[in-house]
Amino acid sequence: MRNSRKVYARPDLCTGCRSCEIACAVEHSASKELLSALFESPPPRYRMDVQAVNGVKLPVNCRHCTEPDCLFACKSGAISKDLKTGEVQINLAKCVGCWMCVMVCPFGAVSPDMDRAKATKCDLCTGSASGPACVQSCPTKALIYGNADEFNAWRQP
Amino acid sequence: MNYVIIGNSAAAVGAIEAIREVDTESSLIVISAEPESAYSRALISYELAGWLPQGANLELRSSSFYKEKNVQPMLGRRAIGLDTTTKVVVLDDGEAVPYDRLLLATGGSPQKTGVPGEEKLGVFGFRTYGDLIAIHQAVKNARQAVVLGGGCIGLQAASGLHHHKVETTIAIASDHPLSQIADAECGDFFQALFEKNGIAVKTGLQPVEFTGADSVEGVRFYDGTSVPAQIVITGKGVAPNVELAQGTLIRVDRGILVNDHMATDEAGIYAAGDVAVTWDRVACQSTINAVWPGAYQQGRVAGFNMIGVQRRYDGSMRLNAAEFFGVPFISMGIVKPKGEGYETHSRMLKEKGLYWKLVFQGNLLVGAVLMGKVEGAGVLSNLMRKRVDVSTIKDDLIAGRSDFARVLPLVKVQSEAFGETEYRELIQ
Ligand SMILES: Cc1cc2nc3c(=O)[nH]c(=O)nc-3n(C[C@H](O)[C@H](O)[C@H](O)COP(=O)(O)OP(=O)(O)OC[C@H]3O[C@@H](n4cnc5c(N)ncnc54)[C@H](O)[C@@H]3O)c2cc1C
Repeated sequence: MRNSRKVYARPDLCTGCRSCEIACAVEHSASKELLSALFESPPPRYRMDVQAVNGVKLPVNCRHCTEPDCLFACKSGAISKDLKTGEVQINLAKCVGCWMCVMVCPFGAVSPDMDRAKATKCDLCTGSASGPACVQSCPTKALIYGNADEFNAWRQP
Repeated sequence: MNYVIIGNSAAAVGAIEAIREVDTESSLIVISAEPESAYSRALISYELAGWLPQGANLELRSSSFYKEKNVQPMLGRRAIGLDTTTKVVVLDDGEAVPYDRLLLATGGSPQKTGVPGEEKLGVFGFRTYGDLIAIHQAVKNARQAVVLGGGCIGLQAASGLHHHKVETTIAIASDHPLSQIADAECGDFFQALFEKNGIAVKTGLQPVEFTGADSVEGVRFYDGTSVPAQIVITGKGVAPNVELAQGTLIRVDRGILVNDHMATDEAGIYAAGDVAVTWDRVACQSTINAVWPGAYQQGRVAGFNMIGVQRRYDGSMRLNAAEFFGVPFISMGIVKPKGEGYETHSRMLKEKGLYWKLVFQGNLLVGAVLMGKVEGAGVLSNLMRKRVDVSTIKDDLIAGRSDFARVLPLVKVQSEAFGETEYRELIQ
């Protein structure tokens, strides 16, 4: 799983503009268009959360953990990890909204979508040819989609 | 090597998946008394209440699971004996299944109430797919039901019966619902919510008899009152299925005792899940934490150790999540502390349907209840599980701010507690 890819952030480059949050919500809307997405009901949910605390801006989303607590806690069998790609995904057709995963995610990166009674988290924009929308949208290139080696090379000054 | 697992639920699936991450070839047999392929017993309440997504079923893994994992399932077969000298498991039809490494993942069964009349038709436990099917049959002809017990499962069972238009009464021995895992303030909120939705809740009531001839006709209580019922569901807790350990070196103290490799005292035999006694990291005591995440993780650790990959289980904790009539509820760790040395903070906003409570023990967070809004609960449960000093962010936590960025300074300072790569990725 050394090659598994996910979204990594560099807080030192993040300005806290929240473009990633908007891009994420639009990508996960029904229409995939900003303007129409704004009026959708229930509203689309973003799965990237820029948290600003004590001057630090930290984009937080699913870490696709090596030992995913959410999967271990998932009593409906909705959460799985692909051992080749490392991706942790929620099968929404099986998710019952029991909030077990919400209760154990160390990063608070799985959130309860009360409107849809589903757990929601970063799905790495599977199915989108251009990759994760948050990465595309970041004006300061504070996000990358890559593997651990690429991330480490990128974050070394 | 012959790997044998008795049980086919959370702990067993955890073990199967761990074993097959490393060893795809060795013989792996799964024995289960229940005939169904692995399903979620924790969802029978969701199924009864009509809460499953359309088209979804209770299957825990895909129908090709056993094939993909190269597992030989022996389902609908009960293990009745264990010979540790010849290393065989004896099944109810006399077949002997040899093992080199054995996992006891036999879980638990509903605790008997001890109330006379318990064997009558219409009195159900609520634990298995079989129970679910039987209750589905029973609701067709029942007008009234009584659910004994006001824990999460009792409340969910009542919601299920109510969904099937059965007039339902929840009878609780203590003075409010969820009394083991929430304060009266919070329990009373849910009681009112259930009553508002047409489910009667009676507190301070102990049953003394299930009345009726062959079939149950009602429940008589200590105070002399009776409630008519053609269905009774008992939710009095779970007793671990430890029978197989009898006559072996495996030590049993309520549940099966294991070390931090999930190994029992008998060579080559492991135990995991609702049948196993583990170290509760938060309450600092040995106990059975009969919850799904613990069962899966213990099974996983046992599985790795069975195949010779050393893994330590870092301990369990109590975790409960549920939702009643649209109000989510999470309770974890010690929420009703007894004795000195605890500091509690709680707040109820009734009109908004919000309640939260945090319990500290010195610089440690040891318990939390979240009602109405459960976002970020995992950040709190991890602070508990890791037993880190939270003194520098205590005020934030008390104010209800628990986004991960607030925890980040702790990750930096107490790095030995946050060794996982996922944390290292987030700090600079
Ligand atoms: C209605 C309900 C709701 C729940 N909700 C939640 C929840 O929201 N969150 C949560 O964390 N937990 C919940 N739980 C608890 C959770 O389901 C258990 O913690 C979990 O199932 C434990 O898994 P296990 O593998 O240890 O054992 P079990 O699930 O009890 O499975 C035991 C297995 O062993 C087999 N077995 C037993 N004895 C023998 C034998 N002698 N021979 C052969 N096979 C045998 C059984 O057939 C079964 O396959 C709920 C439980 C119920 C019933």
